Amino acid sequence: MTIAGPLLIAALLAVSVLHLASGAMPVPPGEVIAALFSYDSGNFSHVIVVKQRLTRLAVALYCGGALAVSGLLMQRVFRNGLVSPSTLGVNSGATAFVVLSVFFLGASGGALFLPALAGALLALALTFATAGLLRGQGDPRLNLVLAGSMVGVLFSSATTLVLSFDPDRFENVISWLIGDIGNFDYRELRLMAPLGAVAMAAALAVCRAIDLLALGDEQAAVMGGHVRLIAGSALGVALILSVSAVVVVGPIGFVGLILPHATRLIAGEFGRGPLLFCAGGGALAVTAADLAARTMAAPKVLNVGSVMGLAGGAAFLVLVLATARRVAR
Amino acid sequence: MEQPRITVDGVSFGYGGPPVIEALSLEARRGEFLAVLGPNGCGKSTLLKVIAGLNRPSAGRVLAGGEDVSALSRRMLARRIAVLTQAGSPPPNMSVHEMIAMGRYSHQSLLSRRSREDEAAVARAVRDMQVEELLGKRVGALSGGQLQRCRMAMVLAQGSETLLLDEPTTYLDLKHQFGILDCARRQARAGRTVIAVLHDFTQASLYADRVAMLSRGRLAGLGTPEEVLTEEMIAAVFGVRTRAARAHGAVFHVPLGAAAP
Repeated sequence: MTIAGPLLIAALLAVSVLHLASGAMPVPPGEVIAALFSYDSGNFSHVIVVKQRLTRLAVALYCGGALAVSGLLMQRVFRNGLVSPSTLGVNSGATAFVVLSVFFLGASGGALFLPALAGALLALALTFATAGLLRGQGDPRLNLVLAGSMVGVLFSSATTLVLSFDPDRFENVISWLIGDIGNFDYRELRLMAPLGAVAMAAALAVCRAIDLLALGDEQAAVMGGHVRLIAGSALGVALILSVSAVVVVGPIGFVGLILPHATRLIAGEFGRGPLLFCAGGGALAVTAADLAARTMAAPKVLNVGSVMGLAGGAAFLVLVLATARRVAR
Repeated sequence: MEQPRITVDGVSFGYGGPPVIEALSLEARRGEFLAVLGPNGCGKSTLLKVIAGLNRPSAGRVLAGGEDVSALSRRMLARRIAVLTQAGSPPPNMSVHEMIAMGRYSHQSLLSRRSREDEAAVARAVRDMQVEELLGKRVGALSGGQLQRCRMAMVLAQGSETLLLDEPTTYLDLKHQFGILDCARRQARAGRTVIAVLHDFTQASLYADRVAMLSRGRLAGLGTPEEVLTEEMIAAVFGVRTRAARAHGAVFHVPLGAAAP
């Protein structure tokens, strides 16, 4: 990673300052810097920047990074460039279980992490079971994503069904569902961020082992790799990262799908560099999407999930077409 | 007498069905090049996988340096036995240097950086296989012969005292076949133990100190190439008539056709 790393960091800083500066009440960048480094609680724009926008920025940075790395790990473990937390149904599974546990157990906040993780695991298991039924027909990589989208629809329907029981009770949940960064999301972030930091450290630690898997299971094993342990822990880390992001901000699609591809193009595939680059890239993408969501139709605020969904959906289509072409050839 | 590097002791193995290997025993010593020969499906590759700990025997045991292979962790086993598998196809976008350096995996912990020892082992392997000029290339840009030499360098970098080579010369042109075999023999002369699945009788008699002939999962013969590679043995195991001719201190086998049933 030669010049790509410093460039990414510069872009992250620039977008972050822009993110803090813009909104219903624009704050000049100089004032933003002042608010960060010499905070004055009597200055109204300082309060807005720090109390409102900074928390929002932290949420965007964290969730983008976590989802992107989660997708990268999944793509590497399954050796399939089409998988990601959203295309495997993982995000939908987590979402459905969050809504279910809000409805039946009255759970809230960080306590939602465990049901979300359970939902993610169930969705992943269902996706693989479904893909197993298609074994021997067509391209296994496309089958997996097909199964994932079926499972995703299944869980989304379950979510909608539960919501329709008692729409009034779910007022807060709805904005979360469409992937909006709310003003109070930082409370969940405070609980999830340490978990995510540990997961990220674990991802960096198993990086070399994941590289080894690229040589093929048998060669990896005779070179000293415990293949199932490596794949299992990488997948576990990926699930924890994506579920923690979903709990904070809701199911934001496509970050985990697209960023790993961009990373491969720019920073390569092997070693720790690409993992770090992917984290930064994901953070940049979601922050930029949130910036767009808040400025495109100002003073109306769109939500970051929709912006990401529109941009990412198109990119997903291109990826699927490219893969299908390669298979056909 | 010195303890054998590899001991296969009454090993049987089957993939769930009938045994592919039955009650097979052999030993390989320090500095020895042992060739494993036999017709397709006789269990040669399966035997190599059993020795490498990839297949767990249903009966008997495999010892590496006196220790049961199934009791060693993957990492500890990899430090003793390095394997050039048949199937391995590294990803095209990996650089040759990245791939060869991965040979050191079993010597590194999760957090450690590459040590000086690792660097030295990689440099030695690169020199041994003469792949210096390929280091900067991507794996996908290599020819078949170049790739096999680079994979061999990766396996050598592992620094294990035993090398298992599963059909290392398949798909290579003659020059590269001899290149790989020469390297394998140098490794044996330097004190390593080489066990290689080969197809060619002549290459086996030129390079191997001993030959293990497998037939339907059993040992049909074990000894020097001259003892094992006889016209009668080849006819019985392969169903092929050959004529043995002696030249340059080795026995050459000229195939004549299918043996009379």
